[in-house]
Amino acid sequence: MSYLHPGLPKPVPAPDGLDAPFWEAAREGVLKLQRCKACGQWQWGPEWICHNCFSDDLEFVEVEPRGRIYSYERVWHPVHPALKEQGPYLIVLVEFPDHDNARIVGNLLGDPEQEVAIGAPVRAVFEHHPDDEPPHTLVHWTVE
Amino acid sequence: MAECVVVFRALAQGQFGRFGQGPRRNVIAGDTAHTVPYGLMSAGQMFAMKVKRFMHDHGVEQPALRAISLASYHHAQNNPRAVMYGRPLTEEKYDNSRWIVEPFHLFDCCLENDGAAAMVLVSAERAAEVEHAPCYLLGAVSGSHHRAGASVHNAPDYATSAFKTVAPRLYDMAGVGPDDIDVLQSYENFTGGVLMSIVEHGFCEPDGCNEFFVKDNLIAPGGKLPTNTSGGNLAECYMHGLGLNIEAVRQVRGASTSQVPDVDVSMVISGPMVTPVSCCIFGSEATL
Repeated sequence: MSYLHPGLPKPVPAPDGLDAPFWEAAREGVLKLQRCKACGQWQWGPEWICHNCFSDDLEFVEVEPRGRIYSYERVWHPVHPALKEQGPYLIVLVEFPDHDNARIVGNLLGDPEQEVAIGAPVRAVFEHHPDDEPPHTLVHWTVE
Repeated sequence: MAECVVVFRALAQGQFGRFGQGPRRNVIAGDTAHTVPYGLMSAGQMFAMKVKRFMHDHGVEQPALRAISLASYHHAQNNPRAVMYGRPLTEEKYDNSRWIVEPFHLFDCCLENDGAAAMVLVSAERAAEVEHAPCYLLGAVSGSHHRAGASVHNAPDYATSAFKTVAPRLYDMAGVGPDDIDVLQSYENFTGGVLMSIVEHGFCEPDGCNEFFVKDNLIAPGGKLPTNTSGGNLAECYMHGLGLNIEAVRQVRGASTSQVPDVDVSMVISGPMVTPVSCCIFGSEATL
């Protein structure tokens, strides 16, 4: 069961491997963000250097898969053939207050016409596609 | 140094591909792997969450966005060149129009069309020799702010048109301030970007948007800040903003179809919410 109709491009790790630990962890149902080993700064999306201290010594660290809604949008007009019969859907930008307010994009599960509150606490829901080619996992969110 | 520069833009989307469509392939990697699989892939979808957050932070209501669209369509009715000439917009028509992505209705989004536009830039000395009334470039800047390009929607200052650091440099270079601007062209990819651009160029306080953004304030000839007087990207022609620069020159020359009286200082704010951004100010001979 997927939130969006199948047929959108599936995520694969970047050819340079930068975000591979994120996607591999997601397949295990674990949320990882990037942290600088030198200064401890959290960041997202993944980068080769720390935006705070410019160290290139970074690691992917498991975080509690909980955050709060920083912003959201309800999409009505499909811009991809796979979504032609989708109807409205919700995209959320989730921030992690305990991790330097790093933010991640995902879908908000539940009624697509639900009222959404900026600031509401959410937790991650992993949507696994082990039989897809290539197999992958999407990280969605649901209001706590 | 070039003596004469032609700036041009031409669009033929039928032959070369439309904007606003998502990628059609099996897999995706890199920054967009963190957005596209969630259905976030068009320009409107990239900007809607910035505008939503700005509206949340400052209590901005939908009619403020609507006023920007109404002003553009109002001006287009005077402009026979406009794609939307003869197709006026009312509050009711806006309110009943379909959502593209909240908070953008259909009429909050720029057009998709073919077209072409060009400007000729020469020195002031040379301009004096040509038959058209010269219009002078008083200032032009471009730039960005801290980590404005951070991927996956992680710019620390997120709900912004990205002009906070750029606008002060423009006013400084041109030697004018917001109160001196007679008429404004402000790039409408989406109305929400216009709203934040106008705020960040000092015309309106962030918390004063609901009062400032009413149609009467934004229309020529008598509005407080006549804006997008050709119909702009929403209703004249989406020339990726070059049409706005040309309209700014028309205003200085007295040649607009929605002319503001006695224009000396005419401003253009280019595409907001991306990075880097740019803006410029044109002036009449009296401003030199």
